[in-house]
Amino acid sequence: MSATDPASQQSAVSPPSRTERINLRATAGDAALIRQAASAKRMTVTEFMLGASIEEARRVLNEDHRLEVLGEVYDRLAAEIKEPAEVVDAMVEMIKRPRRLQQPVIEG
Amino acid sequence: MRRDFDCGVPEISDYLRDRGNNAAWRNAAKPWVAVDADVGVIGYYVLVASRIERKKAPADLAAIEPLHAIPSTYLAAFAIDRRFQGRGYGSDLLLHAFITAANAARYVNSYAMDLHAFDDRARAFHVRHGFRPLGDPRRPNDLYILLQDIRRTLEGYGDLV
Repeated sequence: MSATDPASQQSAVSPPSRTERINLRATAGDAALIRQAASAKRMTVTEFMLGASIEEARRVLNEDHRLEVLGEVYDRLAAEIKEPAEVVDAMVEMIKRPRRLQQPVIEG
Repeated sequence: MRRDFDCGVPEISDYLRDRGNNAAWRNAAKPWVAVDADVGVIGYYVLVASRIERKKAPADLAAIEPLHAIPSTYLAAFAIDRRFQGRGYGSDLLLHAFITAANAARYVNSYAMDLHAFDDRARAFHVRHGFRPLGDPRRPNDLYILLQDIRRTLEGYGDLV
Protein backbone atom coordinates (compact mmCIF):
# COMPACT_ATOMS: atom_id res chain seq x y z
CA MET A 1 0.00 0.00 0.00
CA SER A 2 1.59 3.31 -1.06
CA ALA A 3 1.55 6.48 0.99
CA THR A 4 -0.75 8.13 -1.51
CA ASP A 5 -3.30 5.35 -1.28
CA PRO A 6 -6.46 6.91 0.25
CA ALA A 7 -6.91 3.83 2.40
CA SER A 8 -3.51 4.26 4.03
CA GLN A 9 -4.18 7.95 4.61
CA GLN A 10 -7.35 6.90 6.29
CA SER A 11 -5.43 4.63 8.62
CA ALA A 12 -3.10 7.48 9.57
CA VAL A 13 -5.94 9.17 11.43
CA SER A 14 -7.80 6.13 12.73
CA PRO A 15 -7.51 5.20 16.41
CA PRO A 16 -4.84 2.70 17.55
CA SER A 17 -5.85 -0.91 16.95
CA ARG A 18 -6.99 -3.09 19.83
CA THR A 19 -4.06 -5.38 20.49
CA GLU A 20 -4.60 -6.08 24.20
CA ARG A 21 -6.85 -8.84 25.44
CA ILE A 22 -8.92 -8.47 28.62
CA ASN A 23 -10.51 -11.66 29.94
CA LEU A 24 -13.26 -11.60 32.50
CA ARG A 25 -15.93 -13.87 33.90
CA ALA A 26 -19.50 -12.83 34.58
CA THR A 27 -22.65 -14.41 35.95
CA ALA A 28 -25.13 -15.54 33.30
CA GLY A 29 -27.46 -12.79 34.44
CA ASP A 30 -24.86 -10.01 34.17
CA ALA A 31 -23.71 -11.26 30.77
CA ALA A 32 -27.28 -11.31 29.48
CA LEU A 33 -27.91 -7.83 30.84
CA ILE A 34 -24.78 -6.48 29.12
CA ARG A 35 -25.67 -8.16 25.81
CA GLN A 36 -29.17 -6.72 25.98
CA ALA A 37 -27.94 -3.21 26.75
CA ALA A 38 -25.29 -3.37 24.01
CA SER A 39 -27.94 -4.51 21.56
CA ALA A 40 -30.24 -1.67 22.61
CA LYS A 41 -27.47 0.82 21.82
CA ARG A 42 -26.68 -1.03 18.57
CA MET A 43 -23.15 -1.69 19.76
CA THR A 44 -21.13 -4.89 19.95
CA VAL A 45 -20.58 -6.23 23.46
CA THR A 46 -16.91 -5.24 23.16
CA GLU A 47 -17.75 -1.69 22.12
CA PHE A 48 -20.32 -1.39 24.87
CA MET A 49 -18.12 -2.73 27.65
CA LEU A 50 -15.04 -0.81 26.56
CA GLY A 51 -17.00 2.41 26.19
CA ALA A 52 -18.60 2.12 29.63
CA SER A 53 -15.44 1.10 31.45
CA ILE A 54 -13.23 3.69 29.76
CA GLU A 55 -15.69 6.38 30.73
CA GLU A 56 -15.64 5.13 34.31
CA ALA A 57 -11.85 4.84 34.34
CA ARG A 58 -11.50 8.44 33.17
CA ARG A 59 -14.00 9.55 35.75
CA VAL A 60 -12.11 7.76 38.52
CA LEU A 61 -8.81 9.24 37.44
CA ASN A 62 -10.36 12.67 36.96
CA GLU A 63 -8.89 12.83 33.51
CA ASP A 64 -10.61 14.43 30.60
CA HIS A 65 -13.72 15.04 32.62
CA ARG A 66 -16.90 15.94 30.85
CA LEU A 67 -20.59 15.70 31.50
CA GLU A 68 -23.04 14.88 28.74
CA VAL A 69 -26.46 16.41 29.22
CA LEU A 70 -29.75 16.29 27.33
CA GLY A 71 -30.14 18.83 24.54
CA GLU A 72 -32.79 20.74 26.47
CA VAL A 73 -30.58 20.93 29.57
CA TYR A 74 -27.67 22.17 27.47
CA ASP A 75 -29.78 24.82 25.77
CA ARG A 76 -31.15 26.10 29.07
CA LEU A 77 -27.65 26.34 30.52
CA ALA A 78 -26.32 28.09 27.42
CA ALA A 79 -29.16 30.64 27.74
CA GLU A 80 -28.63 31.12 31.49
CA ILE A 81 -24.99 32.13 31.12
CA LYS A 82 -26.06 34.99 28.89
CA GLU A 83 -28.44 36.32 31.56
CA PRO A 84 -27.31 38.88 34.15
CA ALA A 85 -25.58 37.32 37.16
CA GLU A 86 -27.57 36.89 40.36
CA VAL A 87 -26.57 36.92 44.01
CA VAL A 88 -26.80 33.46 45.60
CA ASP A 89 -28.60 33.92 48.93
CA ALA A 90 -27.30 30.64 50.37
CA MET A 91 -23.77 31.79 49.62
CA VAL A 92 -24.28 35.13 51.35
CA GLU A 93 -25.22 33.19 54.49
CA MET A 94 -22.08 31.08 54.13
CA ILE A 95 -19.98 34.24 53.87
CA LYS A 96 -21.60 36.04 56.79
CA ARG A 97 -21.45 33.27 59.38
CA PRO A 98 -18.37 32.97 61.54
CA ARG A 99 -15.75 30.75 59.95
CA ARG A 100 -14.91 27.50 61.75
CA LEU A 101 -12.48 26.06 59.28
CA GLN A 102 -8.85 27.00 59.08
CA GLN A 103 -7.62 27.79 55.59
CA PRO A 104 -7.37 24.54 53.61
CA VAL A 105 -4.08 23.85 51.84
CA ILE A 106 -3.58 22.35 48.42
CA GLU A 107 -1.75 19.06 48.47
CA GLY A 108 1.26 18.73 46.20
CA MET B 1 -3.87 10.71 60.45
CA ARG B 2 -4.87 10.55 56.83
CA ARG B 3 -5.75 6.88 57.29
CA ASP B 4 -8.27 7.86 59.95
CA PHE B 5 -10.28 10.04 57.62
CA ASP B 6 -13.85 8.75 57.36
CA CYS B 7 -16.68 10.72 55.78
CA GLY B 8 -19.06 7.76 55.94
CA VAL B 9 -18.65 6.80 52.28
CA PRO B 10 -15.72 4.38 51.81
CA GLU B 11 -15.11 5.25 48.14
CA ILE B 12 -14.68 8.91 48.99
CA SER B 13 -12.79 8.35 52.23
CA ASP B 14 -10.30 6.06 50.46
CA TYR B 15 -9.52 8.64 47.81
CA LEU B 16 -7.10 10.62 49.94
CA ARG B 17 -5.12 7.54 50.94
CA ASP B 18 -5.20 5.87 47.54
CA ARG B 19 -4.05 8.85 45.56
CA GLY B 20 -0.89 8.93 47.66
CA ASN B 21 0.05 5.55 46.19
CA ASN B 22 -0.77 6.28 42.59
CA ALA B 23 1.38 8.46 40.36
CA ALA B 24 -1.37 9.00 37.79
CA TRP B 25 -3.71 10.30 40.45
CA ARG B 26 -1.05 12.52 41.92
CA ASN B 27 -0.73 14.20 38.57
CA ALA B 28 -4.42 14.23 37.79
CA ALA B 29 -5.92 16.38 40.53
CA LYS B 30 -4.76 18.17 43.63
CA PRO B 31 -7.04 18.01 46.64
CA TRP B 32 -7.55 20.99 48.92
CA VAL B 33 -7.28 19.55 52.42
CA ALA B 34 -8.44 21.11 55.68
CA VAL B 35 -6.48 19.78 58.63
CA ASP B 36 -6.92 20.00 62.38
CA ALA B 37 -3.51 19.79 64.07
CA ASP B 38 -4.80 17.43 66.75
CA VAL B 39 -7.40 15.33 65.01
CA GLY B 40 -6.22 15.10 61.41
CA VAL B 41 -8.09 15.67 58.18
CA ILE B 42 -11.35 17.55 58.66
CA GLY B 43 -12.31 17.46 55.01
CA TYR B 44 -11.12 17.82 51.46
CA TYR B 45 -12.29 18.64 48.00
CA VAL B 46 -11.04 18.31 44.43
CA LEU B 47 -11.78 20.62 41.51
CA VAL B 48 -11.28 19.43 37.95
CA ALA B 49 -11.53 21.37 34.70
CA SER B 50 -14.45 19.89 32.82
CA ARG B 51 -16.97 20.62 30.14
CA ILE B 52 -20.68 20.15 29.79
CA GLU B 53 -21.58 18.67 26.43
CA ARG B 54 -24.77 18.13 24.56
CA LYS B 55 -25.60 14.43 24.52
CA LYS B 56 -25.77 12.94 21.05
CA ALA B 57 -28.48 10.53 20.04
CA PRO B 58 -27.05 7.01 19.44
CA ALA B 59 -27.63 7.43 15.69
CA ASP B 60 -25.40 10.54 15.69
CA LEU B 61 -22.47 8.91 17.48
CA ALA B 62 -20.34 8.66 14.37
CA ALA B 63 -21.47 11.98 12.92
CA ILE B 64 -18.94 14.79 12.80
CA GLU B 65 -20.53 17.97 14.02
CA PRO B 66 -19.32 21.14 15.68
CA LEU B 67 -18.49 20.55 19.32
CA HIS B 68 -21.00 22.08 21.67
CA ALA B 69 -19.39 22.40 25.05
CA ILE B 70 -19.61 24.73 28.02
CA PRO B 71 -16.38 24.85 30.04
CA SER B 72 -17.10 24.03 33.66
CA THR B 73 -15.40 23.31 36.97
CA TYR B 74 -16.25 19.86 38.31
CA LEU B 75 -16.35 19.31 42.05
CA ALA B 76 -14.97 15.78 41.73
CA ALA B 77 -14.92 15.10 45.46
CA PHE B 78 -16.15 16.85 48.56
CA ALA B 79 -16.07 15.22 51.98
CA ILE B 80 -16.10 16.07 55.67
CA ASP B 81 -14.94 13.63 58.34
CA ARG B 82 -17.80 12.15 60.36
CA ARG B 83 -16.47 13.69 63.56
CA PHE B 84 -16.91 17.16 62.04
CA GLN B 85 -20.17 16.70 60.16
CA GLY B 86 -23.18 18.85 61.02
CA ARG B 87 -21.11 21.64 62.58
CA GLY B 88 -20.65 24.07 59.73
CA TYR B 89 -17.29 22.85 58.48
CA GLY B 90 -18.80 21.67 55.20
CA SER B 91 -20.27 25.09 54.60
CA ASP B 92 -16.89 26.75 55.17
CA LEU B 93 -15.10 24.24 52.94
CA LEU B 94 -17.65 24.69 50.15
CA LEU B 95 -17.25 28.46 50.36
CA HIS B 96 -13.53 27.93 49.91
CA ALA B 97 -14.27 25.80 46.84
CA PHE B 98 -16.48 28.57 45.41
CA ILE B 99 -13.72 31.14 45.90
CA THR B 100 -11.10 28.82 44.41
CA ALA B 101 -13.31 28.16 41.37
CA ALA B 102 -13.97 31.89 40.92
CA ASN B 103 -10.25 32.66 41.10
CA ALA B 104 -9.34 29.85 38.70
CA ALA B 105 -11.96 31.03 36.19
CA ARG B 106 -10.12 34.34 35.90
CA TYR B 107 -7.36 32.48 34.09
CA VAL B 108 -9.09 29.42 32.65
CA ASN B 109 -12.63 30.08 31.55
CA SER B 110 -15.48 28.31 33.28
CA TYR B 111 -19.19 29.05 33.30
CA ALA B 112 -20.45 26.65 35.93
CA MET B 113 -19.43 24.49 38.84
CA ASP B 114 -21.04 21.06 38.61
CA LEU B 115 -21.09 17.94 40.73
CA HIS B 116 -22.65 14.52 41.05
CA ALA B 117 -24.03 14.03 44.55
CA PHE B 118 -23.16 10.58 45.90
CA ASP B 119 -26.44 10.18 47.80
CA ASP B 120 -29.56 12.06 48.93
CA ARG B 121 -27.79 13.48 51.95
CA ALA B 122 -25.01 14.98 49.85
CA ARG B 123 -27.58 16.24 47.37
CA ALA B 124 -29.56 17.98 50.12
CA PHE B 125 -26.37 19.57 51.48
CA HIS B 126 -25.40 21.04 48.12
CA VAL B 127 -28.92 22.21 47.28
CA ARG B 128 -29.02 23.98 50.66
CA HIS B 129 -25.81 25.73 49.67
CA GLY B 130 -26.95 27.14 46.35
CA PHE B 131 -26.66 24.30 43.83
CA ARG B 132 -29.55 23.50 41.50
CA PRO B 133 -30.41 20.32 39.59
CA LEU B 134 -29.15 20.39 36.02
CA GLY B 135 -32.58 19.15 35.05
CA ASP B 136 -32.16 15.69 33.54
CA PRO B 137 -34.97 13.72 35.26
CA ARG B 138 -32.90 10.52 35.05
CA ARG B 139 -29.91 12.15 36.74
CA PRO B 140 -31.38 14.07 39.68
CA ASN B 141 -28.06 14.13 41.54
CA ASP B 142 -26.26 16.16 38.86
CA LEU B 143 -26.19 19.68 40.28
CA TYR B 144 -24.69 22.99 39.21
CA ILE B 145 -24.20 26.62 40.16
CA LEU B 146 -23.22 29.37 37.72
CA LEU B 147 -19.74 30.85 38.12
CA GLN B 148 -21.10 34.29 37.24
CA ASP B 149 -23.47 34.05 40.23
CA ILE B 150 -20.61 32.99 42.51
CA ARG B 151 -18.55 35.95 41.26
CA ARG B 152 -21.47 38.34 41.64
CA THR B 153 -22.06 37.17 45.23
CA LEU B 154 -18.37 37.54 46.10
CA GLU B 155 -18.27 41.08 44.68
CA GLY B 156 -19.47 42.58 47.92
CA TYR B 157 -16.77 40.77 49.88
CA GLY B 158 -13.53 41.70 48.19
CA ASP B 159 -11.35 40.51 51.04
CA LEU B 160 -12.41 36.92 50.43
CA VAL B 161 -11.13 36.64 46.87
